[in-house]
Amino acid sequence: MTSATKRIIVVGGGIGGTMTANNLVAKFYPEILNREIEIMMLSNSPNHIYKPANMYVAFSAFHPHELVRKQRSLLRPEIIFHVDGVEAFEFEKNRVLCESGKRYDYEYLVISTGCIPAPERIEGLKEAGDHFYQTKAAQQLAQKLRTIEEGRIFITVNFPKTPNVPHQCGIAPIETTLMLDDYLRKRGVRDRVEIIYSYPTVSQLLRNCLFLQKPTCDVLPTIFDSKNINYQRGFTLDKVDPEAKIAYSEEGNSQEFDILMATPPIRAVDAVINSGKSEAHNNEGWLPTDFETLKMYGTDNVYVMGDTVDLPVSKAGGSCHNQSPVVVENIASEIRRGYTSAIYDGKVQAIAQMGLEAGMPLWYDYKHDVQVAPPTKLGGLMRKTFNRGIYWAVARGIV
Amino acid sequence: MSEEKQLNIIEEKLMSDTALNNPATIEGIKNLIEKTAPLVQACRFNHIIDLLSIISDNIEFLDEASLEKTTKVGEEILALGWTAGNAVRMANAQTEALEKPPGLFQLMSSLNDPDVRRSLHFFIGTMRIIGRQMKND
Repeated sequence: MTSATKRIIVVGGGIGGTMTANNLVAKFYPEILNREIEIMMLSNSPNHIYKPANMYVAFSAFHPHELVRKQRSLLRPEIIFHVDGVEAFEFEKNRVLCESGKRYDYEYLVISTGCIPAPERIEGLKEAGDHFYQTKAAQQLAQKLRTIEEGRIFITVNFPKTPNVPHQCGIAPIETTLMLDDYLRKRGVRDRVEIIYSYPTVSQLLRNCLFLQKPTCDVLPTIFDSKNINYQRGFTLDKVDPEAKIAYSEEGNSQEFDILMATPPIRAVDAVINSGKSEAHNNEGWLPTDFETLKMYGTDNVYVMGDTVDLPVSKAGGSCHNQSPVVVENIASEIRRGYTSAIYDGKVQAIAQMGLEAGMPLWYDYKHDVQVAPPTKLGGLMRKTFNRGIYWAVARGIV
Repeated sequence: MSEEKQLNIIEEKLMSDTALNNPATIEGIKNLIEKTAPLVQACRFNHIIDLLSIISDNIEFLDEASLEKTTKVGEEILALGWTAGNAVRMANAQTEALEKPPGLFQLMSSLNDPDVRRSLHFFIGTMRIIGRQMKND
């Protein structure tokens, strides 16, 4: 690096950070060859984990090692990669402080550090609840689902306290509820295991629904009824009694359970929370993000994407896939033209796993709610192909 | 029921559908029929039906295990091509940037670079494995 080289640092080795670092190299290839720009990635792990597929681990459909690749193998060789977690963001000085004690200056910074499940934020949930958003937790849930012979499985969804910010992967609770139904039928115990799906009173802008968007909410009762899945609106989890195995809601209701399958509260990583830039409620840490440029408010050279934003879009890889080109184009435009030129329209796309076999492609943006299409076997095959192969091409910035 | 009456009922039913009642739909179907008529008349349209059947049958046969195997092969080929392509592109850029080719001594001193030695080990290891596979047992 020469003194004239401009450094762009991407923090976070998840799907958002990885594809963005690769996309930056493609965008800035002439400048990289001339040593005018260098791309650096900082991650706290040498490995990349395909986090969304942890839900398959919970149903014994994936082995944990199948979700892992060496981070270096997913990065273009032009990227300078350090396994060194960021401890503090020093925005005023345009540099980051890493766990190793090293500081790295930057011209532009992309924060894509994801979010962390925080079941400890609800009394008793960590002790009594299970979830499928991390590998170890999913393995623990898999053991319970593999052995349950009779009883009640209560499903609870917990939103961040910050207004209009969704929980991790909006469709995941429905996906896993339908997968659970299929899985228990396959095991031959479904008629002895009751499934109760619940949703909180407030879900982003909606009240008393079963999903965070109304069109989907409207069709869910028919789907659930056809599968004998019980559902309860207006259950905002307040606390859990691990001994008695009872979940209590803020609305004054309670539910007994043998397995409590939760979408837990989430928060940003410590370095982001401690940056002092977040205006989120409950110390959740989401960074204030311009919903069109994806630039962090209050700075000129910091972009935020993925789970770290405070936007009303799904905290999922399908969001990153659409945000990454906007971030990359805006940085390129600022360096080459002096102004941002790309606008994020809030687009998110995914193929929802509707049961163990069927899949349902879906997409939405800031202006349009998700359009519900019938789940099909072909959709299921598309999702499985994505899980097993296409995901890694997406991370490499190939598609 | 007479044939004429049956046809009338079918026509009435079709025309009550809003999409089919649209003149643009009827015009589109008419064009489609005209375009496919030679294929249908010469029985060549049957091949298209057969092709669709094969695709449909393969979707039916595709299960978790076969999907896992094929996607794994696909990812391995993609990763190999991507890694090799990246290395060639970067090395090409570095070579093009040279003002003059490196001397023999410079090339020899490259062997001190652990990354060079690692890649040489990779190539030698690859040749060893290929050689072992070619051995007559």
